[in-house]
Formats: sequence, C-alpha cells, structure tokens
Amino acid sequence: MRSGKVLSRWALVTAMVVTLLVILLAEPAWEWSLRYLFPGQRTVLYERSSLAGLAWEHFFLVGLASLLSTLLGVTGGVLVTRTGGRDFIPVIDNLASIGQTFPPVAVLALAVPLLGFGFTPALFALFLYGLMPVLHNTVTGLMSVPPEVLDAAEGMGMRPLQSLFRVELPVAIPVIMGGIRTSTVISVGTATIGATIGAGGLGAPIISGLISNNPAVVLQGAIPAALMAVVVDKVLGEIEVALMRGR
Amino acid sequence: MENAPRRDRVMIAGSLIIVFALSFLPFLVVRETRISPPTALPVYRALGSAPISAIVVLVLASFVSAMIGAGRRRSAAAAFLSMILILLILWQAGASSSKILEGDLPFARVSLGSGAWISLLGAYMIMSSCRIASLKERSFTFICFSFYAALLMLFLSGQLDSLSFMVEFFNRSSRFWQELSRHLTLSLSAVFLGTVIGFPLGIAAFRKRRIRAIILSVANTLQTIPSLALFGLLIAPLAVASRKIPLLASMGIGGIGWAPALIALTVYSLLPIIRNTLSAFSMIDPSVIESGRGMGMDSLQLFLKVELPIALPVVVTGVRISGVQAIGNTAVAALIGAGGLGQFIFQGLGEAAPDLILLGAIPTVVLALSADGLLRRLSVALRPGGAS
Repeated sequence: MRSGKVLSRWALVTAMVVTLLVILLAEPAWEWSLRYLFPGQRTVLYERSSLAGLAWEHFFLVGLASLLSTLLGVTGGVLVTRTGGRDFIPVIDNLASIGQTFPPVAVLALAVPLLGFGFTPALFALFLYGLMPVLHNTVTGLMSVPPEVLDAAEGMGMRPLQSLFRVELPVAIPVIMGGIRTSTVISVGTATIGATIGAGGLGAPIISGLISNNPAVVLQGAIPAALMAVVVDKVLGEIEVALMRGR
Repeated sequence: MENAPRRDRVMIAGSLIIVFALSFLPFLVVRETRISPPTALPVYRALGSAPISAIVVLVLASFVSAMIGAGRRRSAAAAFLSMILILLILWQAGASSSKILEGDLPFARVSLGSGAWISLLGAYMIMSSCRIASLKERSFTFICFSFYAALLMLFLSGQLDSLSFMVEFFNRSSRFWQELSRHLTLSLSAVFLGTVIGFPLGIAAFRKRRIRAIILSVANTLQTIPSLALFGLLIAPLAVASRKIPLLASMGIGGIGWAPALIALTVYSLLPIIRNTLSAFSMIDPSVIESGRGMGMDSLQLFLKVELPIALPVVVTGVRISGVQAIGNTAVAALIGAGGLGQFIFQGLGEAAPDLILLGAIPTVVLALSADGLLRRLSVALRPGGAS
C-alpha cells in the first residue's frame, strides 16, 4: 500500500517531466494556438532560436550554476563544521541572511560591471546567489547530527573522514537537499532575467516580446519558464522526500 | 569568558582578506568618459602615504587583537576598529576621486574597484563577527548607532560626490526620487494587499483542515513561477480586459504598467504570509485557549486578546519575508513598464553604463536590507513579554 503510493507519486513526477518536454518540442502547436489567440500579430514565434534550444540554454545555465553552488556550498559547510572552522559559523549565518535579502536582479545587474555581458556573468551571479542556501543548509544539517551518534561512530573506531561520509552526511542529506532545491528554483527564476544581460534562455522571448510589443512572443517564453520552474521544484521536492524516507 | 584566550580565526581571515584585496586588486577604476573602457588604479597610486599608513595601522591592530584572544571588551574594540576602517576606505576613495576629477580628467568617472569592495567585505566580516560577541555590552548599541550616523554623514557631507555612482545620482536626482517613491508605493501596496488577503487565508487554513492542503499547494506553485514569467502571463489577459471594459482602461489598467505588476507582486506576497499565519496559530498551546475560555471569554475576545498577541510576531516575520521579496521583484517590474528603481538598472544595462546600473541596484539593496532590519525589530518588539 505504502510502496504503491510512492510509486504513484513518481509516476506523477514522470508525467510532469514528459508533459514539459512535449510542450517544449511542439513548435507547430505553439504557432497554431498563438495564431488563433492573437490573429492581429504578424509573427507569433520568437525567430532567433527554437523553443527547445532556448529551454536547453536555460536548463544548462541553471544546472551548471546549481552544480557549482552545490559543490562549493557542501564543501564549505563541511569545512566550517570541523573543529577548526566553527568560529566562522556565525559569520556564515549572517552573510547567508544578508544574501537572502539581496534581490536576485541586483546580483545579476552588479555582475555586469565586473564581468561584462553574456553567459559568464549570469553563471557567476546564479552561482553566487545559489551558494548561500546550500551552505546554510549544509551547516544546519551537519550541526543537527546528535552528539551521541558522533560518539558512537568514534567508539566504533571510525576515523573522522569515515564518520563524515558514513554517518554525518547521510543524516544531514535531506536538509542539504532542501537547500539545493531552494537555490535551484530561485536560479530558474533569476535565469529568466538573465536574458537582459545577454545570457539567452527562456527570458529571451519574454524580453523581445516586451520590446516589440508582441504578447504572443512573451507567452512563448513565459509559459515554458513557469512550467519549468514548477517541474524542477516538484522533481527536487520528490527527491528530498525520498531521501527523508530513506534515512 | 570562561575559556582561555584563543585566536579569533574570523578576524584573522578578515584582516588577511583586506591585506590581499588592497595589495593585489584595483582600488579605484577610472574611465575617461561615462562609457569608455576602464583603467585600474591600485591603492598605492590612488591614495597618499598618510591614508595608506592609517589603513595599515588599523589592519595591524585588528590582526594583533585577533591573536591575543577573545573577550567581550576586546570584541567591542575590534568591531569599533573595523567600523573606522570602513569609513576610512570610503572617505579616502571619495577624496582620491575628487582629486582625479579636479586634475586633468574633468569628465572621468571614478568608481570603487574590486579591491575596495572586497576590503569593505573583509572589514564587514570582522564587524559582524565581533558584533555577535559584544551584543551584551551596553556601550555597543551606541557605537553601532554612531557608525550608521557617521556613514550617513559621510554621504551627506559631499566627500563622496565625485564617485561615479553619486555623479549619476546628481545628474538625475529628481527622477531618482520619483522612481524611488514609485518603487516604495508599489512594494508597500503589494505587501499590504498580500497581508489583507493572506492573513484570513492563513487562518482559514488553520481552522479548516480540508482546505489547508489546497491553499498551501496553490500558493506554493504560484510562488515557484519566475517573476518575469508571471508578469508576462498577465499581459495578454489584462490587455484584453482593458480593451473590452472601458472603465478599466480609464483607470489606467492595461497589459503593461502598474496593474500587472501589482497583481503579480501581491500574488508573490501571499505564500510567506499564509504559511507564517498558519504556523503561528498552530503553535499556540491549547491549554492557553482553554484557560481563556475558562475566564469566560467568547471566541472574538479569545482571538483578539489571546491568540492574536501570541501569533503576531510570527505573522510579522511572514510580512518581512514578503516585503523583502516584493522590493526585489518590483525592480523586475520595470521591464513591463511599472517604473521604479529597476528602470535605472535596465536602462543602464541597455546603454552598457555601469554607473546607472549601480544607481538602480544599490538603492534597491539598501531598501531591502532596511525593510528586513525594521521588520525584524518589529517582530522582536511584538514578542509577548516585550522587547528583549
């Protein structure tokens, strides 16, 4: 009964992913329905790139940024929770809460004077903005490991590294995953604004449609961007739940 | 402190960051005109020997104090040193840039380089780490207050007026205040509407278990949608509505402008307020309500005198999260013609004019940080038992 429920949840997630892919690949259907909705517009599709290409650009940017935030955030969180690094925890908490207060669009805009336009500054901004939730959650997760558990690991003769990989990280992983999810979903949203600094992605048709006053093209970017964010959130949320159950 | 003196690693790291940033990274960046390519100016060419030695002494002092060990008094002193350092770096950057403008490059734009920014970050690191240690020291509140006052004075005194960011501000100061007030109006109205709608929804979710899941998952999904996408989704329907209904058009409601911005911003403020209202009311100990009922209170009295005071600080925390978010998203709304500080950001991006980007981005950040600080304090002050 319980496993059946789990199975049906995964079926739902798979169905959502498949739907998203179909929507991204069905260019003729987009053209047909947008023409029907906006009979007055001469062009209803973004002309410089295919929808699938834009979505891949978007996905690649967000994926790479999240991967970097995760690598650095988890490593940093592990270092800070070792005996030598604990002094830094309050500072990290403080910087994380300030980081959360910074508007994402400001981080993106401030990357331009430093790094110019294009893919790299957008990647840097998304990475930096996504770093703090992962770091913060890694610290929280690792600090929540009960001291008795650590004592038991030591008593069993585990070396510090063994205790980290076999005991601490497995206990902390659902919380860490929560941080990765938060940071990735924010990245999907911030990446749409990335089009204004020349990073392409699903924001490109939205911006181009706004400039040329063409609501059809805006929708061609807005609907897939919204769906992608919802699907990414759902998939990562499901992984988080699975990790929670598995521990 | 009970444990023996030990080295303060955060302060050591902070001091090293400052030394590294000032020795190897550009302190100021000079461009001959507003949009010409930048040249980097290292600290030894930007500043005279007196300010440089002052900075060296301050950094050495905090390094030495970090090596002697922790202690409340020492922390307060170190925080004080780092505050002076922040003020000194800003003041000297301003002075140096006015010297450049008065010299051979009157139309030049001088802005802070990465070295200046990173050394400010290092000083801030020391300040924030010491602040936590010295919070209980009475005099410290006064020191903090004087720091912010001095920072404000520094801006008002005209010492920083030659920095590019301020030059850009003076060139369009009347428009700046206009966009700032537009930004504030839009964010505040969205959070106000979000509270008026979200608070009852949160209470409904608390009282009726059946609709709880629906309310939360709808609000959660809406929150997930990227702001630019939500703005985009509202354009077409609102444009149609305003074409069909002349009354809406006469009110200025259309596909672009303030109407879609306000709707989307309000939708975004819902989730934090609903979620916090729900958890605030769920936290209340049932025995407290029982004893209120035992005293003969009816349900309205119970709500106003017992439940609401306990729940309010957590609800205000929700308003805080919504407010900070709304200020950031309002900047994005400039893309759909809603105005606000985002106007400068996107105009600056379009013209590849970094100073204009800063003129939009820095005030947005300051606004978000101030809203966060104010509402945090309000939430603490509302805690039952008074301010702590």
